[in-house]
Amino acid sequence: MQQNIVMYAGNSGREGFYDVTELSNGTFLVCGYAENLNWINTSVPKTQLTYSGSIPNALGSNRYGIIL
Amino acid sequence: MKNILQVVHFPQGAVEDIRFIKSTNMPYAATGDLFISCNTSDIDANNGGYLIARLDKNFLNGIPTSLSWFNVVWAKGYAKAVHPWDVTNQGEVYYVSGESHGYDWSAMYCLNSQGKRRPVSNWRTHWLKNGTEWKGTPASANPFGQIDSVNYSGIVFKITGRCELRSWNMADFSSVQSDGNGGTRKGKWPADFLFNSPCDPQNPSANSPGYTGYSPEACCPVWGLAVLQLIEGIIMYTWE
Repeated sequence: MQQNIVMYAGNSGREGFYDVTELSNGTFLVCGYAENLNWINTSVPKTQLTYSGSIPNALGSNRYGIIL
Repeated sequence: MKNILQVVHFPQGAVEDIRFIKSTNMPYAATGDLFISCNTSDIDANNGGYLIARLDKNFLNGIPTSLSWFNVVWAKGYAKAVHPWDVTNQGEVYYVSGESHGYDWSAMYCLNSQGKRRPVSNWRTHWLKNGTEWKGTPASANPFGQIDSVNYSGIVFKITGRCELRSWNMADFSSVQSDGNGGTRKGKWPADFLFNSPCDPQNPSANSPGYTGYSPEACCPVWGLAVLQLIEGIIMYTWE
C-alpha cells in the first residue's frame, strides 16, 4: 500500500532531501544534505561516519551528507 | 519532521550529499544491507562525480558508524545526474562511470561484495591481470584460458573502436525477431539498427545508417547510459 508522508525539516540554511526508504521496523530513512546541523535537536543522537581512504571533493561546497 | 530518531552524517565537506539509499532486500522483506551514493565535486583527474558505499550497519542491527567500503566513480552528464547503479541481493553493485554524449569514456562495471570491480563472464570486454584488454565470451575463454586471469569486465558505451551492443557476425546481424511491441526488428543486439554491417571486434567499424535509416548522433563517440535498474537479477538499462 502506498503511503504519503509530508515532512518539514531544516532552518534558514540550505537543505535538500533526495531519497527515502522504509525499514522493516516501519521507520523511514531520509537522505540528502544540509549546510549545517543546528536545526537538529541536541537530544537527537548524531553519528559521524568514518571511512578509510580519501574522497575526492576538493571543489565541494562544505555541506553535510546526511541520513535522518 | 517531529521525531527524528537518529542522524548519521559524513564529516562536513566530505561529500556534497547522500543522493540515493538502496538495500539488498526485496520489498516487504526484512531490511538487508544498505548502500548509498553521494555526489562529489572534483576535477576529472581526481575522479569527481559520485561514490558508492556500503554502510556497516542497517539501523536495525545497529547504527551505521562507518563505510564498509566505498568506490569513487568518475561521472559527468547523465551518469553524474542520475547515478546509474543498483545492488543485488548478494550485495554486488552494477554501476556506470563516465560521461554522456562526449568523447572520452562511459562503461558499466560490477563491484563484488567487497567493493572491488569483478569479472562478469558473459560481458564482452574484459581487462586482464596482465594489463591487456580482451573481447569475447565467456570471460574464461581469454588467451590465458582462466577466469582467474581476468581482473574485471565491463560494457563500454562507445560507438567507434568498439563493438558493444552490436552483433559480431552476419547471422546475428541479419536475424529478424520480435520487437516486443507486436512488430519485428532486425539484428540480435540493440544497436544493430544504427549500422550497415556487423562489427568485428578485431577490426571495428561503425558505418551508418542502418536498415532503419537512422545513424548515431553526429557529435560524439560516447553514448552514455541514462538509467540502470536490477529487477530479479536482470539488468535493465537505457542508453542514449
